[in-house]
Amino acid sequence: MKFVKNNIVPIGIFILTVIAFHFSGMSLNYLSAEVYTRFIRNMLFTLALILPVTCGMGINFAIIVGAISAQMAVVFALDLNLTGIWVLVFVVGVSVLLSVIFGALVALLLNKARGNEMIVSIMIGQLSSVIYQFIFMVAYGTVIHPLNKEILLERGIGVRSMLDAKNISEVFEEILPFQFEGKHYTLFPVLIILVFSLILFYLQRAKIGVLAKAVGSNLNHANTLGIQSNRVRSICIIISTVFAAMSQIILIGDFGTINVYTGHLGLDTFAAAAILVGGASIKEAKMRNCFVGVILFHALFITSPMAGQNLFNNPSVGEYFRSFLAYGVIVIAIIMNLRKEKMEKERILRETLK
Amino acid sequence: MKNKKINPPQLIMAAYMLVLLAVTVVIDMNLVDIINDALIKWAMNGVIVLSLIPMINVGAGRNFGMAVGLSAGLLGMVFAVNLRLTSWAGLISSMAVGSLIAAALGFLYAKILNQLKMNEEIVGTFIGYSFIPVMNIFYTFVPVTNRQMLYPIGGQGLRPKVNLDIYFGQILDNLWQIKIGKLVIPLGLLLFLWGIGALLWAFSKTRTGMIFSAIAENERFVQIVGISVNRYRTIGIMMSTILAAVGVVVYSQSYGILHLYDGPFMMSFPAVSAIVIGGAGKKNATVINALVGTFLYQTTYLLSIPVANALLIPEMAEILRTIVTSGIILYAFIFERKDSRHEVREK
Amino acid sequence: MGGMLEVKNLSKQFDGNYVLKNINLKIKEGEVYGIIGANGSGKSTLMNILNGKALISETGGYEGKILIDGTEVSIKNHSQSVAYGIAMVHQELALFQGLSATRNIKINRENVRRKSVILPEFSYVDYKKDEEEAKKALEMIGAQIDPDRMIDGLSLNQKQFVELARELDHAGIRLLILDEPTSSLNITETRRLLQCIREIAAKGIAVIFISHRLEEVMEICDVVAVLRDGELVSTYEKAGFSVGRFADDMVGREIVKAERKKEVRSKEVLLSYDRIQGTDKSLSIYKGEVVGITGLAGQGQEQFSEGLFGLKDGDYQAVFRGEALKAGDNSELVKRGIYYLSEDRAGTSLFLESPIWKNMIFGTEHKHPEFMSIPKVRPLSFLRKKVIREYTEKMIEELNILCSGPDQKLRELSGGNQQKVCIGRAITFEPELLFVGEPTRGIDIFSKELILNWLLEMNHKNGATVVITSGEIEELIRICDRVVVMYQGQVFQTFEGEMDPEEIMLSLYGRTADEK
Repeated sequence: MKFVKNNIVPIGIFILTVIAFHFSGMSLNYLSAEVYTRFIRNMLFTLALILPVTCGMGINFAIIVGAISAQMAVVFALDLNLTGIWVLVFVVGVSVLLSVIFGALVALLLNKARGNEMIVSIMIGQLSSVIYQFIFMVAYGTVIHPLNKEILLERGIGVRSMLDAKNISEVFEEILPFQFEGKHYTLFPVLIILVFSLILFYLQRAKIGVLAKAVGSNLNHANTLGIQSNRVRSICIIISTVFAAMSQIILIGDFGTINVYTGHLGLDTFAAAAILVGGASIKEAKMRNCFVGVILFHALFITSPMAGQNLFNNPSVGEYFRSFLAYGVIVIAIIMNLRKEKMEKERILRETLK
Repeated sequence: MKNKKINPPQLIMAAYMLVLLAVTVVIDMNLVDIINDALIKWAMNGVIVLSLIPMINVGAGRNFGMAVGLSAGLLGMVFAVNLRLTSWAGLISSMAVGSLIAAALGFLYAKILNQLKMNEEIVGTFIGYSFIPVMNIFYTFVPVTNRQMLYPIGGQGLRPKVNLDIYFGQILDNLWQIKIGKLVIPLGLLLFLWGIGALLWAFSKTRTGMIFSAIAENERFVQIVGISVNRYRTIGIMMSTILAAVGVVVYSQSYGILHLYDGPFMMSFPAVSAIVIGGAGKKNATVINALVGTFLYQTTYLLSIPVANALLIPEMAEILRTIVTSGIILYAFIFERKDSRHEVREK
Repeated sequence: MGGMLEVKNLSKQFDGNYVLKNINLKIKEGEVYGIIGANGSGKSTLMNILNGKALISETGGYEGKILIDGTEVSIKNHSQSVAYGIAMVHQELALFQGLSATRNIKINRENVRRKSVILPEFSYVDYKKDEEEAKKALEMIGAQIDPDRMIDGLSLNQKQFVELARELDHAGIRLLILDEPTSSLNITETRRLLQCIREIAAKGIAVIFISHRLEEVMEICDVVAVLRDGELVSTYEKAGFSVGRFADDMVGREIVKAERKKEVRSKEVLLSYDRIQGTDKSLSIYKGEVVGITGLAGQGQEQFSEGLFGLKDGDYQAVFRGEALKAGDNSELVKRGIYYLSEDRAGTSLFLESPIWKNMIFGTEHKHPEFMSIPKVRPLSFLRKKVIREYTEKMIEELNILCSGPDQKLRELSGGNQQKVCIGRAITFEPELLFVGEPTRGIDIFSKELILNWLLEMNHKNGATVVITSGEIEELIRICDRVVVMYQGQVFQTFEGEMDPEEIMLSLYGRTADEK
């Protein structure tokens, strides 16, 4: 019973998923294949949210900045006409570099906006997204002159919105391929996810993980005891941004094309919803929340439009339902968390009165 | 008299507007057309921006969950259009029904926000976001009979954009227009905006208005002298929701189109940005803040369109607008003065 | 043997107010040094300086010298303080919920397997070694706590031991500061802790022991220093310890002249608190009296006012004129004419960013319809600024508030003048029963007298019953009919008529005069 009470959110979503799956009429194989694709595309984004949650900054919606770093690196690689394994080396190197720099900037801003980190991270995400769009839509062709003219629009200003990223996806496809239901898949992204999960596992048990927990548990105490809380928070945000960048590389590699202007959008909300669906709160998140959450959320995400179609003869109902779910779960998580905090405060008050 | 000082966002925006203005003159745009448009845009968006004031002043934050109130206004219009109410009957009944629904929704919204003091903004954002799909489901199933509002094929669900021209499109815009040469001053529309502004201003001078600002400044004090803080917060949040509903009716009649579904999705950010540009703080906003801010925000957007077109990059106008919107809000969060109460408490 | 820590002419001011004046003290290795003094005597400021609290450096640092082993050092931040071997156990424990005892003890001092080359924070924590050391630290103070347990599940005294273990785990600890370590412990736990402190001292660590419990101080300390109003008034060696002397020094020897004739008041009970903290004890407030409630920090003197107005839990049944009151139902309290000026002026009694007139009349409109233009539609009525401004001007003059006029913002006024505005609002409210918390705290000497006079005036002229919660015993004796002393959440003693400050002082520490 206690298990149910502690995991009410994932269990509830699981039941919903089963119902949606039943009415969608999909085959389990089809669903698994779809979930697999979405799992590799979204998993690292969700893992990226863990450290900021641990150090008390809530959901870091500014992981978009990491995705942008990767998008930029890929466009640069296309511009330089790189091929073969060097593409991957170049893209990873540049996106890590960019995401560390951008992550540090994001951290700088978030440290100035204590108490409002989540909404500020949304605004940072939005702002950096449009600045990024501005660079590639306006500056390219006017101020910046690419080597590879093919990436530009016909008018000579701005990068085309869809670019072929075959040189990256080719690298992906060659490593550990397998077939399922007649389609080609590869295990390489899973390998990367595994590696990064291990890195995160390590970091959580390294000094940074312990300090992040302390800072998240009580910022004032951390400062009293001489922990450099701003530094700890910055490192968490930078790691988060780097993870997001890696995730975006996997996504592009899996897609085979890059949506220059929109490829990074919406991922923050999906990641946030997934981690919360997996049973995390805005104060505490574990890796298992991410794994459970990503699978559950995306399974529901895939099945609900079809279920809506079959139940109400209208596919959009399912779509509306899933976007309600994505945002609603965030509201519920915040409400539940504040309730818990209130109860905690009262408990401490009672204890000191004794 | 409080916000007399010009704050950096205002300065930046004014300078930006002047630059754009200079460019428009250089590229030979017709200034009169721009002024005509600017006046319409000002009033068209003004009421929505004004709707932020009660919530800010009662200390419940900037209403990022404005979609709740906007949806109520949209429902009001759906109601009026479905009954084929045209002209003033349509406009007034839209506002009346919208306000009623907004009052009910605002009450529930306040119930949630009162449990989440100090977190209204982030929670509001997501309440707004998640309210939109709920409304979308409603639009899909609402049994309307006016065929002009339905999808042409299939006949189930409202269509995303309903033309208002034959109902009450531009009815306020065209009221008491003053024409001086090519210059058109939409006096009726402006009076409506200023009227609501004047009401809000008068309200801030009443005892309730004083209690509002008192709650924003020091909630515990107000509680101790026996005033129910939650009651006044509820009133403030309901007022904001109702005004947002009225605001979207004004907006839609100007626009000429009833934009359902994701229409209100991103409307709160520009409004918040506008009032911040006007100099509003986290806990106090005046009518002047809202009106000045809206004018600067909308006019710069308006000016950037021909400039972007002249540069052959039409997307630039929208990009610049979003940069301004999110940049200004970010500024507000990062540089606004910390809550004075907390500084004192940390002894 | 020279002093391990020496403090010379140490002073500290906040905005020109000296809260510490020329403190000189010398602490030897292995010595337990007791510091006692009333609330606000400067103990915590002294500790904050030694501990390198940000509050000190942010407000301009300290004056004077601190010497360790004879060499002058400057303590600017916490890590410097730690580097000099100074550790502190805070009264409010600085422990992290959600972390184990080990993690709390080793926080920011984790052992690492191998230093990471990228960032020191990326080094893997050596859990085994941490746990061993944490265990050792806990054993050293004789605490039977499994280091693996989460802090959340520990009892208060176990937490105290964890905090102590964390501070003792510092390598090279020289000086341990204990701020009221026993305040929340029972007798056996206290014994255990005192024993432990002695063992720590025996290892050559100097200990500063701050406590309100004089018997503990006498038992454990080698030297005791008494602070009063920011000055070190006396230092005693073990041979010279005496509760009486301590009390004398803490109160001061000034001649106190009573300012108010103690009259025999009516015995009509206006408000009574029954079943305080679940016991059968009660406290009655009589109509028309001025009563002072005092006690050391945390002894429950605030429960009567703050509890009634819902700022804190108050465990009692309050009865006003025979009718039960609901705690926290402030509109009902205000309707009955009960008014409260809290000691946290900025937090609960003032609008600092608003003009004086608003602070002067807020919440009193129902008693003054003349402030409103259309009193009938009260919520929507405009305010008659002219009337309000004239009224405020009158009050400013009467209360002698130094300001530029009714429109000046409260923030720009001094503490004394801010308090006068509060008093002015209370006068405007015309209360039947007025609660005031620390009316003279942080206020200059001239305003103090004025404020006390006004409180008496309200009592005398308007017949308001006044309940003052304050730690200023001398003032309470001067103006109150009765002084109630709180100890451990209960009414300990009530003084009437001629009150002896020394007796009250002893009473604060839970002692009566005859056991002296």
